[in-house]
Amino acid sequence: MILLKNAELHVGDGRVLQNHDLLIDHGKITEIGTDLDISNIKASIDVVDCEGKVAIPGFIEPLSTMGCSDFLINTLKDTNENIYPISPRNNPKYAFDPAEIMMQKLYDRGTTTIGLYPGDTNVIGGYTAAFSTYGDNSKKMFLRSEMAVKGSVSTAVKNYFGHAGKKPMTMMGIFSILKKAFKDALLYEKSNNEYDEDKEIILKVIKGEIPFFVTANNEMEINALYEIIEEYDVDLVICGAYQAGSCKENILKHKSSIIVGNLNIQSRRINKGTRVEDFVEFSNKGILLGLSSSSDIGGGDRESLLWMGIHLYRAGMESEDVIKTLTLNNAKLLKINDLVGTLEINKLANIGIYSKNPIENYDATIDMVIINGDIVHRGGKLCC
Amino acid sequence: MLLIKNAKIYPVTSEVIECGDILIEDGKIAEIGQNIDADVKEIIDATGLVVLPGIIDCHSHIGGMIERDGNYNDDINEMTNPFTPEVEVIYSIDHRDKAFQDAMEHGITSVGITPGSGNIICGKLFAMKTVGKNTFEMTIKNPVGMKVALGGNPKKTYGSKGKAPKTRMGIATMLEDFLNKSKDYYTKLESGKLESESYNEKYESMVPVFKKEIPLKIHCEQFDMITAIEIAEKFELEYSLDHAWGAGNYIDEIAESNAHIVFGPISTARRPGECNPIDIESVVELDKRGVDVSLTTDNPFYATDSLISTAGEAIREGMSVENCLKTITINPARIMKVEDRIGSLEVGKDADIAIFDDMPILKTRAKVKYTIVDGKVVYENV
Repeated sequence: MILLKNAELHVGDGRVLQNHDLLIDHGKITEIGTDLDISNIKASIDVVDCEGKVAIPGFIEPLSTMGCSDFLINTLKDTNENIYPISPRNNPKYAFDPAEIMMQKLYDRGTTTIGLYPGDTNVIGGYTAAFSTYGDNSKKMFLRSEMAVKGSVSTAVKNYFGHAGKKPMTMMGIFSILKKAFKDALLYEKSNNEYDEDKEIILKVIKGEIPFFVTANNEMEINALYEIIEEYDVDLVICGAYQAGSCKENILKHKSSIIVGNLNIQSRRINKGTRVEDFVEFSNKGILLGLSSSSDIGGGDRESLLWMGIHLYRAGMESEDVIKTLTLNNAKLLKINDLVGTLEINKLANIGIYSKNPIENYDATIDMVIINGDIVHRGGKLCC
Repeated sequence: MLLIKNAKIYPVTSEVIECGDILIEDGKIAEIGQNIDADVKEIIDATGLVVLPGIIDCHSHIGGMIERDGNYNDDINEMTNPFTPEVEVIYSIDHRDKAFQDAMEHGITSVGITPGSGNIICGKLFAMKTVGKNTFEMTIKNPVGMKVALGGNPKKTYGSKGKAPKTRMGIATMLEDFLNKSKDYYTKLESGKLESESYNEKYESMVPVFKKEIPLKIHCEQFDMITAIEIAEKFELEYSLDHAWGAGNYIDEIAESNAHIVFGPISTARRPGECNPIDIESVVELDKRGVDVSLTTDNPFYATDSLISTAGEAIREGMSVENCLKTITINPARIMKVEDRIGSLEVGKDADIAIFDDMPILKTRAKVKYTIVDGKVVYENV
């Protein structure tokens, strides 16, 4: 058991609780309150004096292929089953290597959960999955999978397939494939053909029964995507979304969610003309906004997720809302918010303890990181 | 003439001035002090603002590489021979790249633009301001270094095509061999013993290196840093170890050497081999041991303004504000030998100044209020 005493608790949903205690038992948060009485507890408790410290739910990376690289055969990255552009059944949970995620040391910067997806080169690539960022056993680190279906209409698709001499090599090729996949699923539904898992999955997508995460970076990609899904009930999450600011009408009308891609990599923010203020505006207008350190040209690392939060803060988002995007929102997008994303009773004890608010200050040291109730990182000068 | 009044001034090479003025004349810093009395029309009231020297990234490729939809043109890697000391990257730089404007708006007023790392000797780098009419007018000095690369990139370029070098062993042998031959050429040239038919463009291009006018800029990570130190010191050349990932495992060797360190980028995936560890924390220890450390983003691989966040991570790992400011101002200026012009607020230097509303390497939300280059306000955000 661990007792965090007298911390400034940032719940993750916008609430900040001053001078609060938090009790951890068997990997979960079991109690939150002021001056918790532990005198009747028989088990041994590590008491951590968090006076003057800031406790935040572990950050969640919602969209990554980190952990799935297979360095031994690095031309065959395990999230790129891109022989065919449509392959809905693939599940990245089979691709996850704990050793690789440990090498990234995400926990060192307070990122405690990672959401995996099957790359950006398939038009429909497969499911999402979520894992813990610390450990050596993929089963013990596994949280959930099949929370969403991932697709992509970005140039990454045509760059890959076109280079391989296969359709699609153009944007029109990409959208004709997506259109056909949807139509084929509808035809299958009306027919008496035998059970087809791939088509069942696509049916769920077009009926809005499972969220559809789609990598779409440019204005034209996003607009075309809306044109295609107009006649369906897709629950769309736009990933990357660098030019989403130019598609406000569609996004607000459909109430789509957004996961912003890495703004720094290859100077994308500059080359795509991204106005980070647009994402603040989306958030203020009720769009579910998440942040990722990934993109379809790479990314994903120890530093970038917090830096993404800092970009939003600099663009005018309140620091508590930034914390929410990195915790509760990312958890909601991954549909794991029953497990993680806030400091609340019965959720997993995934917590970062900092010397000051890391959204607002660079000199915030990461003094302790807890995942599933285990202390996985100690920095700074916390007493325990 | 321009007068900045009532600012908190960080000259970097001298003590912080809690409340002071800077007088600018003819593009240069004319005076720094308290209550400067001057008949000036253009006055910036910098009450409550933080004044820093214009920030510098000395390992940049902006203007020479631009990403568009997952592809990028790469005009900074003349990968047609493992030794191309004769090429000068200045000729590949398009000043219209939006990255320059964006850098300037974030307080980065100068960059050291370098060839890539596809060859063993990749060509000459130069220093330029981030605003101006065109690349040549923006140039501070050309050349400011000779780019060298060890490790995986030269291997990939040539070895994968069945040419030398194919291994790190080959790179070391070929580099030493080339340095021997070009040093020999230089010695003959200097003593008048070089026959006119012996003119060799490549060896000729190495003359400024042996004259100690420009340092070697050696792209190396992990154990390749030891190779770099050994070879550079054997030839008694000035050099920087660029990227320097894994420096934390080589603190003693680096501290005992004459190496400058240019650390970065961080915020990149760790991979076995060159890309692990990537340890920004090592710069704190290196700095304590007296090593000259600069920070870099390797822009455009990562946007130029991430230099501030990179410095912020060094702060997070325990570097002092005063020393961390040096890593993005005077240290990069020194390694490029342009510290007579830029890198600190001193009388006589270029008036390249970034005025923030708070200390940018401490407060994540600190914004640039004014960027001044060559004494002119080129960006205002008030």
